[in-house]
Amino acid sequence: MPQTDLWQKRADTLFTEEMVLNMGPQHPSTHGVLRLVLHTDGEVIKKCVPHLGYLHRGMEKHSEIKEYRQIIPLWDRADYLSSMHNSYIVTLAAESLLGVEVPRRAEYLRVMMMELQRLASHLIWFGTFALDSGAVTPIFYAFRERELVLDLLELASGARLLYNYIRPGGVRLDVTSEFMRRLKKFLVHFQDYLDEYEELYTGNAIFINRARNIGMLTAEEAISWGASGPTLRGSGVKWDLRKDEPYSAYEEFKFPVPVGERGDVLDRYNVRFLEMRASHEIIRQAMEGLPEGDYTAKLPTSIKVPPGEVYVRTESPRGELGAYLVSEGGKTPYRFHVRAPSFLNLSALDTMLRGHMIADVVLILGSIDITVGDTDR
Amino acid sequence: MNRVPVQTDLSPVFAERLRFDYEYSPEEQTLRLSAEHLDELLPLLAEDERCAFDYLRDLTAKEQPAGTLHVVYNLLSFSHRHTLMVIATIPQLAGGESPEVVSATAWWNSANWLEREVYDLFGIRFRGHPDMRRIFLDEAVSFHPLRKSFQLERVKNLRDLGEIEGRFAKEAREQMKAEEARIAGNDRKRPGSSDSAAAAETRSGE
Repeated sequence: MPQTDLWQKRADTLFTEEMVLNMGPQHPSTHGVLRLVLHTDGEVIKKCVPHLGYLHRGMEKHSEIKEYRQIIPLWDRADYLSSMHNSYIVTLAAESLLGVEVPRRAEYLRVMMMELQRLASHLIWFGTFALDSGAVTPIFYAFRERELVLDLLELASGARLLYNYIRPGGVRLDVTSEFMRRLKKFLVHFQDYLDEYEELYTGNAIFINRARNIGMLTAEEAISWGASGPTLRGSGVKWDLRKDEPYSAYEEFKFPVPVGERGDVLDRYNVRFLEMRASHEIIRQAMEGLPEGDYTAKLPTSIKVPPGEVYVRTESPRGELGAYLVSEGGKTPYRFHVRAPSFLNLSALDTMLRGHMIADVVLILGSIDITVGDTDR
Repeated sequence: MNRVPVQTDLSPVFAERLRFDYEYSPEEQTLRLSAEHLDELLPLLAEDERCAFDYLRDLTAKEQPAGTLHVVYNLLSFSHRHTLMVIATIPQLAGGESPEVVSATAWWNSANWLEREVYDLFGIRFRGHPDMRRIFLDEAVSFHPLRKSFQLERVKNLRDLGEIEGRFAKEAREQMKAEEARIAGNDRKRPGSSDSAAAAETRSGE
């Protein structure tokens, strides 16, 4: 028997079977308590089954017994890396049914704070994503700059992480001249920081080879799986709620919407990175054009929202953050549901992982930027 | 409130294609119907060129004070840039019957996890769903917490907290005992199977 036939015979009789590999819930790269069950053939992933619920806190049920002003700090804790957006979605839902006229200064302050929050969130993502890919240095740079953003948010709201700043009618406090001075100084330097990151990481050949052509998600798949935010735009769909279904004062700002081409990890990276520059641009315009006037409309402490139902949506750092509010006219919502962007982006993970190596799991998961507080609520 | 750029009046499409009672409001972009007719409506919304709703952005449910369940779909079309909210009423059920609706997973993948969430929290089953399991809570629990019959308890005094927690712990212990008894029962049914085989069987159910 020739040698090659012998090898073939051995390969045919070789015993192989699918291996099930558990990842998490306690794993440093799942960004929270997320558990992934990977079905693998050798090192190639055949299927991925995420298990959720380790951080489920029953927030939607809780919202039904709390007053509107009380559920804002509650939802701050849903997606703890972008709590400003979570405060805003509760506020927006209540305001839509109330029909309040919000002062323009308040809307500008909201936009400013939400974009600062987006910077803080994207900076965390940038650091941890680089760490996931094996580069240890960028996280120290990213946290250095995030500290400056948190200082600004602390100066405005009094808190560093969970702000409870945006409220029905406007915002809690007006900004001080000290805040404006420090914001101006921050904006001057932030461009340089971003350039520094690009030199450090974006152009790195090792990183590009690592991130190119893995975790592919075509535009059709992204739409069908309900992906949103940078995950959707990375796949080449130009859809940004700040532009396409504008809310607050976003109609008055000019900013670019970066879009990817292939829908791989590198495209999602580039979209998020360029979004930081877009946010910088929005903050600059909001700072320069900040109108004079009231920072909040007058509303009673205990709000009664008229009966009705509404679905509102905003663009959070992770994607479309929506809220469905049903009111029966009481002081508490009758039903409050939040459409969490991380939840639906994570459901597309199985499609992204199939056919890739185990070593790519961490990087692909990092590229969709989930918060487990947001998926589980 | 979001400013939606495109407001399309879809009433001619619905008048032409739908052969049952419905309420459509073009100003609010809302369609109300009975859940029995969803299997006729969903393909129309997904496949008809004038609707072309390719993005299911949200799916949830709510319970009316009278106990009627509603399933709520929020749809978007990327090609036409219009939106629609579909509110489907599940007809009143006889006692003990569990509510069931057709699954939207055939047209939108995003319905997969959203329907599992609705099943978990409301107990509405989706016909034709590929993987109808709970998504947040444990399979062993028997309740669906977002139903209005599931009451939250207010802890007025911290001293009561121990009592409430004790009650929950007792329930959990009983459930665990029942689960162990079930596994042991399975074990006895199949002669020759060892403990590890029974354990492997329960694990493969995940």
